[in-house]
Amino acid sequence: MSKQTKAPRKKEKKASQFSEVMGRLRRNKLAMVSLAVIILIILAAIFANYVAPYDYAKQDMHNRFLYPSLQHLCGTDNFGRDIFSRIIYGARYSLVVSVIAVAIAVVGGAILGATSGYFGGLYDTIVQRIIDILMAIPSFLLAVVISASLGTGIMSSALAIAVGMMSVFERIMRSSVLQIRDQEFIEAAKVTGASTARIIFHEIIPNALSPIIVNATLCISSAIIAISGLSFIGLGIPAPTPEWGTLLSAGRDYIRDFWPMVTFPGVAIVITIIAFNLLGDGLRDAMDPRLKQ
Amino acid sequence: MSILEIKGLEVKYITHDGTVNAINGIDLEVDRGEALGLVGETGAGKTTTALSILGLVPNPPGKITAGEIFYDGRDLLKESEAEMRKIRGNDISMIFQDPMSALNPVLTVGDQIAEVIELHQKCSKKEAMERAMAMLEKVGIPAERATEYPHQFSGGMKQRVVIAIALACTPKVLLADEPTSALDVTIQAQVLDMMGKLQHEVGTAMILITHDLGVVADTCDKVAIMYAGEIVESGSLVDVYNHTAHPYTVGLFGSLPSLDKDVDRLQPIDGLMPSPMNLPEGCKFHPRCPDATPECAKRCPKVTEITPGHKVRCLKYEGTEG
Amino acid sequence: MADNLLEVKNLKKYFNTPRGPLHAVDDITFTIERGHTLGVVGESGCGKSTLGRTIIGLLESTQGEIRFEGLDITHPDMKRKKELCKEMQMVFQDPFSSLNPRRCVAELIAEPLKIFKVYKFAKERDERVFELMDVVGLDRRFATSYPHELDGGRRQRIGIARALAMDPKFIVCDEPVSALDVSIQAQVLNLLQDLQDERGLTYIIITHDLSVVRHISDEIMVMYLGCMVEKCDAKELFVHTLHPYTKGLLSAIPIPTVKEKKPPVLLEGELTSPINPKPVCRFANRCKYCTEQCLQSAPALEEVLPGHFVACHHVREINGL
Repeated sequence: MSKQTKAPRKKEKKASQFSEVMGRLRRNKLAMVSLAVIILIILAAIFANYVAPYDYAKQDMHNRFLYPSLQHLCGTDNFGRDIFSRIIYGARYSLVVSVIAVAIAVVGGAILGATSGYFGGLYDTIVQRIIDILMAIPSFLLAVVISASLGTGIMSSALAIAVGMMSVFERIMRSSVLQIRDQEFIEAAKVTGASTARIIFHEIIPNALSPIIVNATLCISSAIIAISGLSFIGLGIPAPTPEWGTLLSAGRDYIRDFWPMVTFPGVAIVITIIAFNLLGDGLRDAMDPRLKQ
Repeated sequence: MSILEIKGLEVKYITHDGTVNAINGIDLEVDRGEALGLVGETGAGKTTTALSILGLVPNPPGKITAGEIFYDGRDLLKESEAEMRKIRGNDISMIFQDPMSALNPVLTVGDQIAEVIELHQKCSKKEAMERAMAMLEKVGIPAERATEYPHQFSGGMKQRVVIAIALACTPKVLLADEPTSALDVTIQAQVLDMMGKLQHEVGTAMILITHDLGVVADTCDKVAIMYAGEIVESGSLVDVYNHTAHPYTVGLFGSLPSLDKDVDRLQPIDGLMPSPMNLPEGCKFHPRCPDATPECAKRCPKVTEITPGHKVRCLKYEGTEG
Repeated sequence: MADNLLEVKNLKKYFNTPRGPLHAVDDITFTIERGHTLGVVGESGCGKSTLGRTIIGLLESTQGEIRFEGLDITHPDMKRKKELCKEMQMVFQDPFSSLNPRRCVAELIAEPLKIFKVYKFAKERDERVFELMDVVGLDRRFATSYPHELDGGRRQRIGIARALAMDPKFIVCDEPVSALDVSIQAQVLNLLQDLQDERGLTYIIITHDLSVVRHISDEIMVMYLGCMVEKCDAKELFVHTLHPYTKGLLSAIPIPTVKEKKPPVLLEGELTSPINPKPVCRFANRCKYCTEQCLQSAPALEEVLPGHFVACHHVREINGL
C-alpha cells in the first residue's frame, strides 16, 4: 500500500512525460540559468555577423595588443583583430564541431549498444571487446591519432572526438537495454507481431533515452574541451578560423606580456562548459527524481 | 486489558503535489495475546498504521497530525527517539512483506538473529547465539543452518528467519505486514501454521496486515476492515464474517471467488478506491456504495457499536446501538 | 467429434542451465475445445508460465506438437508466426511492466492495428481504438493518459483491449488478476467472462489461485515441477480431488469463512527445481504416500474416472477406488 501513499500519482491527467520533465527542470534555478546562458551563446553564434562588432579576420596593424576598452570589449590580438568578435565567431566552430561529435557518438553508440544488448551472444561479445579496446586508450590520445591520420577540418575533428565518446554511450545503452529487454511489455510487443527492428526502435530505445540525453549534454562540454585541445596542438581546425582552442593556442606566445589573448577565450570555454554541465545535472534530476536525495 | 490502543490517529503525507490523507482517525485496540487482522486494499493505510505504531513514518513527508498510541499505558507518540529504539524489536517488532530484501545478504542468519537479542537483552555473544539457534529450531529450521547466508535459503525459509528475528526477544506486540503474500500457498500454509503456534506459545499480541480475508479467518481472533484511511468495520471474526454489516465489507466478500459455492458472476464493488489526496466529502465510501443516500455525501458517519464489540462506520447503522 | 481449437501433444520445453537441462515443461498433452476455458494451476516454478509462452510462440518448444485449428504451429516460419499473432493473443501478469511506459493508452491499443496496417486512415483506426476501449470498459477520456497515471485494474483493461484488437480466437492469460486488489480482480474476471460469452473466445488461464480457476474455467490442469499431475472438469476437481498434491494445495488455501476448521493437510518441504530430474515421481519427496515404486518410476497419466486424469501410482488405494 505504501507505494501509493508515499509517491502519489500526478494529479494532472494529460501531462506528457516531456512536460513533466520540463516542469521539474523549471524548479531548478541553476539549470534554468545555464539553459539561458547556452541559448544566449547559441544565438550569438548563429547571428555572429550581427552581434560581433567587427569582422573576425579584419587586421589592423595600428591597433595591436589593445587592452579591453569600450571599442574593443576584450581588446585586440597580435594582428589587431577584435578578440570579442573572434570569440563570438569561434563559438560557431566550437559548438558545431562538438554537437556533431556528440551526435555521431550518440547515434553510433546507441545503435551498437541497443543491438548488442538485445541480441547478446557472439555479436555482443565481439562488440564489447572492441569497446573494451577503445576504452583502454585514453580518449584524447585516440582523438589525436585519428585527427592526425584524417587531417584537419570540422568533420574529421568531430569524428576523431566521436570515436572516443562512443564507448560511453554504447555502455549506457547496452545496460539499459539489458534491463528493459526482460520486461513484459517487450514480450507483449512480440505477441502483437512486432518485428525485431520495431521492438528495438519503438519499444526499447525510447525507454533507454533519458540517461543518453543527460550524458549527451555532459559530453558536449568534454567535446568542447577536446576540440579546443586538438586545435591548441594544431590538429583541429586550422589557424585563421577563430575556433576557441585556436585562439588559446595563438595567445600562448603572449601569455606573459598580454593577458587578454588567452584569458577571454579561456573564460568563454569555462562558462560554456559549466553551463552544459549544470544543465546536464539538472536534466538528470528532472528525468529521474528518485536519484535526488 | 489491552496492550496496544490507538485513539484517533491521523497521518498525512505532505508532498509537492498535495496532501495525502493516509490515515483519517482510526481507533484500534489489541489485547494481550490476541491476534487482530487488519484488512484492506492497496492504499487503504494499513502499512502506515503499522509504521506509526513503531514511530517509523518517514518525516518528511509524513506527519502524525493527531491521535495517541498507547503501549502498555505509555503514549508512544510522546516517547523520545532513544526510548522508541529500545521498544522497537524488543517490545514491538515487525515482519515485513518481502523476505528477500529484509535480510542482510552478507551476514549469516544466526548472526542476524543474535544481533537483535544482544542489542536488547544484554547478554553475551555466546548466549545470544545459543538463543538464536533455539529460535531457529522453533521456526522449523535446523539449528546447524545458523551459519548459512540468506541466499542459501528458499523464500519460505527466509520468511521463517525473518519471523525468528521478530520473535527473538519475545515481544509483546508483533506487527506482521503481509507476511505470506510473497509465498506460494502450500508454503504460506506452513508459515501461517507455524506463526499461529508460536504466537500462542510466546503469548504475543499480533496485528496481521493483509488483503486476504482467508488468511485472517485462519489466524486471527478479531478483524478490522480499512478503507481510505478509516476503519469501516471491526469486531470478532464471527461478527464480521457471519454478520457482515458495512456495505464495503459485503462488497469485499462478494468479490471473492468461492471454492465451495457455484457463483455465475462475482459481485464486485463498482468503481475504484478514491485517491487519498482527493477524498470525497461525507462518507468516504459513498460514491461506490450501493446503499448510498443523499445524506451519505454530506456527513461523515460516526462509529456505531451495533452489538457489543462489533463497530461499524456507516450511516445506515447510526442510532441502532445494540 | 469435439471441435478442438488447440491440441498440444507431448510438449516439452527444456532450458539449458550450467547444471544440466531444466525440465520446465515435461511431456504435456491436452486439448481445448473452442469456446472453453482451461485453467492451469500450480505454484511458482512449476512451469505453467513457460507452458503458456511456448504455446503462444514466445518460446520455441524442445519437443512435441502444437496444433491450432488442426494445423501444425510448432515451428512456424516468420510469416506464419506473424499471421498467428492475429489468431492467438496473450494477457500478461504484471499490468505495471507489460505496458510501454512511454506510450499513451490509445497508442498502446493501436499498436497491433498499426503493425498489421489494418486501416488506411488514422481516423478509422482511432475509431476502432475507442470501440475497443468501450468493449473493455475503459472510459474514452483516458485515451491520452499514460499507464503510470492509471491504477492496476485499468491497466489490465488496456492489456485486454490490446489483445482483442485483432479479434483473436484464443487468448492465453498469464496470472491476469494476481497483481490486482480483490474488488478490482472481480471486475476483471467478470470482463473476461463477458468477452468469452460475446465473442466465443477460448482461454487458457494460468494462475496460482485455485479459487480463481474454479470460478472461471471449464477444465483444470494441475502442474507440479513441469508435469501434469491431475486434469479434469473444473467442478469435478473440487468434488473428487484425487492426486495427493492437489489435496495439499486445496487444503492450504485459506478460506474466508468462520467455521470448524479441519486440520489442514500440510505439505512438507518445498518445490525443488526440475534440473536433470530422475525418472521418478517428482512429488515423491513431499508425498506422505510415497513408496518404493514412486522412487523407481514416474507415474503415467491415466484416466481414473471418466474424463479425470491423474498421474500417481497409488491414486486408487489413496482414494479407495
